[in-house]
Amino acid sequence: MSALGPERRRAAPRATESSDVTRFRAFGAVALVFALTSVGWLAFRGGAASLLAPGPLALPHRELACADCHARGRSERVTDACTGCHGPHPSARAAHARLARTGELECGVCHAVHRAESGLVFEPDGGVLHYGTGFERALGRAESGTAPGLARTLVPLVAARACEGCHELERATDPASACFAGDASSGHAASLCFDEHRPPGARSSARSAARDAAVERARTLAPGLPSDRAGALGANGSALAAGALAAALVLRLARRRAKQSERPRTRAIAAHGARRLPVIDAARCLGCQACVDACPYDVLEMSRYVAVV
Amino acid sequence: MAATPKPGATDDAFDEAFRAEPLRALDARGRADVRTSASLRHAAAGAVLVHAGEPADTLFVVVRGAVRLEDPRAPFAWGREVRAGELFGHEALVPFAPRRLSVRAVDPASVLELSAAVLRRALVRAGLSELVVREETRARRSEWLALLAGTSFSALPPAELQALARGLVEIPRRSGERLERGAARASGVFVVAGGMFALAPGTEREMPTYAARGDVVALESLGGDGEECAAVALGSALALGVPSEALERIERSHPNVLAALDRVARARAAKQRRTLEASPRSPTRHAGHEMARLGSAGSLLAIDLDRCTRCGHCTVSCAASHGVPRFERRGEKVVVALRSSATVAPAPLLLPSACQHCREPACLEPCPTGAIRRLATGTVELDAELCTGCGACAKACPWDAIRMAPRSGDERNPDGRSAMVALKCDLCRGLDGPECVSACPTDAIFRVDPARDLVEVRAAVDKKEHPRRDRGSSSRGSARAVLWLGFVPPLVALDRSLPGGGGQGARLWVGILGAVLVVALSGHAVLKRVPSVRHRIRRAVSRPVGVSALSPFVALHAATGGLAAACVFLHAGFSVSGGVLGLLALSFWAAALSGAFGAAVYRVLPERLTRLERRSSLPEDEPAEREASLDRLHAAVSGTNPALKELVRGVLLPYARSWSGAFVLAASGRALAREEAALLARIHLALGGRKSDRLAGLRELVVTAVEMRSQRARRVLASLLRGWLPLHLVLCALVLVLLALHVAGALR
Repeated sequence: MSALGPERRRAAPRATESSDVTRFRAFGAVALVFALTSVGWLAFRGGAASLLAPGPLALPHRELACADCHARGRSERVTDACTGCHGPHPSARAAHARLARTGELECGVCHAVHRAESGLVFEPDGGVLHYGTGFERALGRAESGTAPGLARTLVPLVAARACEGCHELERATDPASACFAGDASSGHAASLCFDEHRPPGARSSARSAARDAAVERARTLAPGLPSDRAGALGANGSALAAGALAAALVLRLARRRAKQSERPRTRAIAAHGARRLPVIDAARCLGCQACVDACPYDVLEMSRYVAVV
Repeated sequence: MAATPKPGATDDAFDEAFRAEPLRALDARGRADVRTSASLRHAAAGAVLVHAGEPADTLFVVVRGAVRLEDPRAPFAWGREVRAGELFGHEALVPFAPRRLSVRAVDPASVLELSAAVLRRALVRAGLSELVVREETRARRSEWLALLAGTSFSALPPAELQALARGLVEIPRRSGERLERGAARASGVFVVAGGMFALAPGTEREMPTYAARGDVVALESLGGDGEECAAVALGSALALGVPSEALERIERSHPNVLAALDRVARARAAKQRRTLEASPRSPTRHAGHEMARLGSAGSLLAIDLDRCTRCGHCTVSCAASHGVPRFERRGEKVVVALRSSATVAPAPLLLPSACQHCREPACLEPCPTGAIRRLATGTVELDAELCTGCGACAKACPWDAIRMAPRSGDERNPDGRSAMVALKCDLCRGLDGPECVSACPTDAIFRVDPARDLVEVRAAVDKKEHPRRDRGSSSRGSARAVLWLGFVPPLVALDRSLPGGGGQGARLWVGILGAVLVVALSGHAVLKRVPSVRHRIRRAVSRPVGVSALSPFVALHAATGGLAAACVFLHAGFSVSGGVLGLLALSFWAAALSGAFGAAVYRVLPERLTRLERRSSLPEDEPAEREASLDRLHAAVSGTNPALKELVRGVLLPYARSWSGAFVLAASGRALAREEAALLARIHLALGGRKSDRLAGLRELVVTAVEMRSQRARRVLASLLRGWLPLHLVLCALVLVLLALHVAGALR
């Protein structure tokens, strides 16, 4: 464009597609791939059945099928399914036991299967596994400390969150507040209230002695564990990351394909052997001046709306 | 080329037309061309076929019945009657002339409308150029006479006025060219016949005024006080020079005419100055190229950059309805005083390369087949059926508004249609108003009629005086958004008071409400992306065409999002667990956060970005712009003294290249001019007055350096504006899939 303003050009501008238009191309597919991959990752980690459950089953219940606990059409409560396997072992606390008897306090209130179940597994070789809903993690030596190998024992940890439905943990007069010794923030009921189901001073056997030892170790380990929130966040994060990775791949593939199809599809102009001046059929010439503008040697010009050589 | 006449134009009609006077002489080829571009119009008795003042690009042949040509300025005169087989509408042969006469059907009449450009071509090719020249001269004489009759020259006796009209010399001027005395017997007095001239007074302090069709321009004041001015064409324009002898004759016999001319010119200039000064915060006065564009447009597509979120949805929706987008969202920033229904406020506009339906389109005449035509409304239309893909219109368009593209698959056919086709904005005729306007989420894009909506152009072309209007406030309450936070404490209290978990009682019901809201929220994507849905909704809520159909729904989307977040909070709290529920919660809150972030940046950032822009560009332009700025800096400093070179190397380049500085500039919300002044002041402070003699040209270097830093700052702001939406979309897709699983699981 000269100082005199726009002048007539010799080449007609071509329509182009700006990034505005191409930016969201194939984005529906990308979003879908992201969503499906993330969900697929969940199914891969927790089993396909866990997709319709509120959450996956953690280690102790992983092998169970839905119908094992949620019996359809039967009047059986989930609590009955629990006692069916674990046997009746009511809470040692009088108040909890009373509520449990009337059906107001079910097993699932504290043992939030599918949602926030977590615990520790002590292996005979001294290894310790921290499990939760959607994650499992072996504790390192430094974390678990060295301790004599026990028989394989599983100690469930109940999150402080489970108590909050009934108790006010911050209030000093609340009986549950004593359990946390003023610190409910660590997330695990990690202090005085361990082993709800074993009355203090109960008669001990060889088996219960091993269990007591495991509970004692869990009591010392629990405050140092990352909360099950962190574990769940990690599990969710890995699903998001898997989705993002797949989505990025699809996006890249789509962009590459678009770029390939963008390549100019020029037709090769057959080169004529003889070099002669062009011949113009005046009867068919439209007078559009396209040839005049195209000629690099300015051989052509317009005369009376017809191109002439 | 297939010579298929327009539907409705029968062979009979053409037989009649080709009996009319000059058409009779056409050869077979010419007849075929004329047939292709012609269209037949019917009118009932008494109906008006053409109104005076409409654009004139076509001639008419009466093929049935009769019509009467009426002069609206002489309502009691019985107009000339034109019968079958006669040609009329010769204004079309004169550049810049609109229809002077109205055409009313006397009996039920049919007229054949012929493109003047095509007819002229056909006649010249048939060897009838003398005939064409004769007809054109005759048409011009009568047009120029009518034009003179509208000026103070009308006080001359009829015979002298006619002599003056005959003697006028046509002086066509391209954009930027001046009117000069002496050339072609010109006396220095001109009548503007078309286009616009900027009149720059001799004294430099005064603002230029403008002269449009029908105004008389005198390079040396006719009042005899020796004031001089320069007249520069804005866009292509046509002036009629009054020859020196004629002026001298008038000066001798009718000095009062010249005095009247002088009076009118002064009054016009004074009125324009008044209007321009009344416009608020006097935005940049435009001259040259910009004013040429504003002044020539009939309907200008403009984007208010203070509102534009740079999402590009205007282009996307254009591409969705036309296949190939018919404009690009890039171009110069133009600050104008924009009149809306109630207020006049300065607005920084981006004028994208969409067809602006010029008042004198440059694309019309070059089209060899008459595929481009103007409707009575002034809309310029391009008929893809007739287009031969030659590109003559695209080359002629000064504003890059016509682009060549391959014909789309279903339009292409083997019998003779070209592979390429010219494309331009057609105002979405046949669709539901301009799609770009309808799809804008923030009401930022609209069509303006410069002669009505832009104060400066209005002052130039409008002869009437308008009462001054007060400036409206342009501040938008971004504080209102903060009020949303007020809902948080009651929500938390409500959450505390609700018993039980998400599966029971009230919490279950808010969960269901939340799910419904989330599904409703995702409907926004459908509304945004599927034009037919948008059209239906627009009709359902009876929203007028020509404003955004989407913008009310954006506000609704934001409000619904807030409500959905409240529902989800009451349903599930901020619980975090593994599995479907946990991921659902996580992705919902992430989607809600990204949406809230988007709402915030859409509200706050556009204005800040605009302050850093001189032209609005797309992300793909960035590398070239960076390169160009660096080149400019190097070119400006090469050959200068070592002090300046040292300054560039040690200060300006590090300044321009610093990313942290770009972030600070983006965050500060400073305008370019202020940043330039600040940098200049800092340099002078550091130098403490030393070397000041060797710092000539420092200003341009500073401007370029600030431009380079602002490029980076713009990139930061633009990526904030554009980056959140893809994230929001993928997260929402995940939320929908997980929600479906959650609902299915809960129902089981």
